Amino acid sequence: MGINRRFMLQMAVAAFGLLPLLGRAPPVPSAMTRLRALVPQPRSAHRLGRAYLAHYPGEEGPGRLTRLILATLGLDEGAVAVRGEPELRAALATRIRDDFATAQTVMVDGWILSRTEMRLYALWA
Amino acid sequence: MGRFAMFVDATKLPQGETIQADICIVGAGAAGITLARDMANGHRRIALFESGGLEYSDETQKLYAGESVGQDFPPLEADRLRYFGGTTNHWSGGCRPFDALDLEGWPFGREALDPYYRAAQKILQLGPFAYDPKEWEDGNDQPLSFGAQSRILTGIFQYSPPTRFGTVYRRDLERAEAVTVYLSANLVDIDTDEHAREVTGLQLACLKGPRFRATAKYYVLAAGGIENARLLLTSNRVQKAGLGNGNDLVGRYFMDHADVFNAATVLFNDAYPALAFYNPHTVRGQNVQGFLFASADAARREGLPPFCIGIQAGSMPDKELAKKSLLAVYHSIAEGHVPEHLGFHLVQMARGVEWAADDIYNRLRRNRPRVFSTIYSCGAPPDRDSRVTLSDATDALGVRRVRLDWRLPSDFEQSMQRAHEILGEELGRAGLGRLRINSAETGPSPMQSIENAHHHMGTTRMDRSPSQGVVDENCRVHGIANLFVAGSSVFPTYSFDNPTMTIVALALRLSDHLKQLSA
Repeated sequence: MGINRRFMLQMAVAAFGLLPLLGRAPPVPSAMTRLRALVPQPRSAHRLGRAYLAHYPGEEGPGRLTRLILATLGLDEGAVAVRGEPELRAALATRIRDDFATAQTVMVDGWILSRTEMRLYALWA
Repeated sequence: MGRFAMFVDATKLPQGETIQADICIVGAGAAGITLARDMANGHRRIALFESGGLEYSDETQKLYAGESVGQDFPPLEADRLRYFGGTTNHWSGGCRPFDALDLEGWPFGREALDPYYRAAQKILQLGPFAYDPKEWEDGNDQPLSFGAQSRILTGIFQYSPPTRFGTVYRRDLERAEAVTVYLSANLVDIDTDEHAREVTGLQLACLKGPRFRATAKYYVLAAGGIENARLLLTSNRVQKAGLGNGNDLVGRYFMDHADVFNAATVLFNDAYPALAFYNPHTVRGQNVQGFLFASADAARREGLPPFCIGIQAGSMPDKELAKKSLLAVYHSIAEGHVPEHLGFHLVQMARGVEWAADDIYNRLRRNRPRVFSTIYSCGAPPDRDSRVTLSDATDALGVRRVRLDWRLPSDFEQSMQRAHEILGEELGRAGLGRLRINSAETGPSPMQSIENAHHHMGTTRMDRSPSQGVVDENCRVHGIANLFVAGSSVFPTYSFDNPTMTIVALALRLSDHLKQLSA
């Protein structure tokens, strides 16, 4: 039997799953990675994010954006790590609606958008 | 004509005839016909003069021609109708009473008009006197839920069939022995005493027929928002600036609704937003339509005029394209149904972080619009320099024609944008969607697509003081004991509501006043 790509992938997944048995915890995704994973359409997020950063160039940089988003959510990296995806989504959704309620909005190309959601998209820019 | 046919063809009158009545009304539109009908059962002889006949005539219509020198306006002879029934012969039927806030600046409040609004409701052949949207919710047709403390609310218009006053109420007037309707009778001048304190008669003329006079105890001009001012201005043999124009107010403060299409684009998070409530629809036999507007508190805090925003669907996807490749449909959305590229990406993100990625192909196959646009209208603050004056040109009867200089406030676009910002913020707060303000910076300016709504108001405005108004709180021309004005020309301010219901209510109120005077 030849070693094919599918077999190699299966082996890699198995090895990853064995890590805890070897005393090695799987790497914890960073807050930035977790936030980026919440965005459903990266290509569109990229375009929106670039448009946002054209207006707010001082916020460019995934680290800076992540800190700004976490600050508005009242979370730190550790808190993000332990929250499940639905909980994170809910916190962001609440924050986004609060942005509109408190006029924390940005106008990009005429669109009135939440600052938090645009920062989130800018993570893909 | 038989015993009950109280319609007279004025062209058949003898030259120089004098018609005597108790009350003369000039103009048989919504106001004039309402007045005549309401006073028909009393002892008073009512003479109702109408320029046109029972049907449209080009020749009569041309009497309306004039010039427009301000904001884009349709030809003056096309914006109104000059035959029995007046402009109700082509109105759309939208009705809603003014709110209490809308009547600030008027010499009386909503409570004074309420009984007349209720009576107007019947005259306009509307449903129950109910304008709370909750009373019109029906199954799946519900207003958008903006949540508590929203600055944006939903209101409701009711639609009259629309009532063509000349058709619906002709029989009533034919049967009213106390009322005589004179057709083809044009007012060309108003006679007064030497100090212009009392009207002593009307001079009338037919396009192809005699000139004659009418005398009465009381006179009412009910010829429309532009024509009422014209008739006062042209009657200047004693008061050189025009009758009732001692303070240079006649013709000033001309108002019309400026409807702005595509002022904004709205993208709803839900692929199938429940917007049926905001389209004309029938509930319990009554045609109604919802609209969005700012709460009184919000409008006041923002310093905005009363405004309303309608939402209409964007174009439907081409069904043929839906059968083609996903890529083709994808591009049809980008190019045909979303105004610009950033919006396309927002379509993709429309359900935001609250939802997992959707299957775009399944959504597209359902052929429902995702993109909507707004229609904005407001009751802008009255502008003294927006006005009707007279040109040197004259019509076929020798009466000077109108020059209209319609003006919008300099901050009109700014107010419109702020109104949409508020709507955009509330849509986002409620998780309903996103809004884009269209402007010259982002595409075709919506200011290029302003259309007037054919609601001519304000040119003989009402105020208790003669220094601020042409007519007093009873619609009597200041300084002239027996001359009154009916119709939207007396509105000192306006709302986003169509004026017809208020025109009819005010006519009924004036009728009560005239009945008291002539008791």
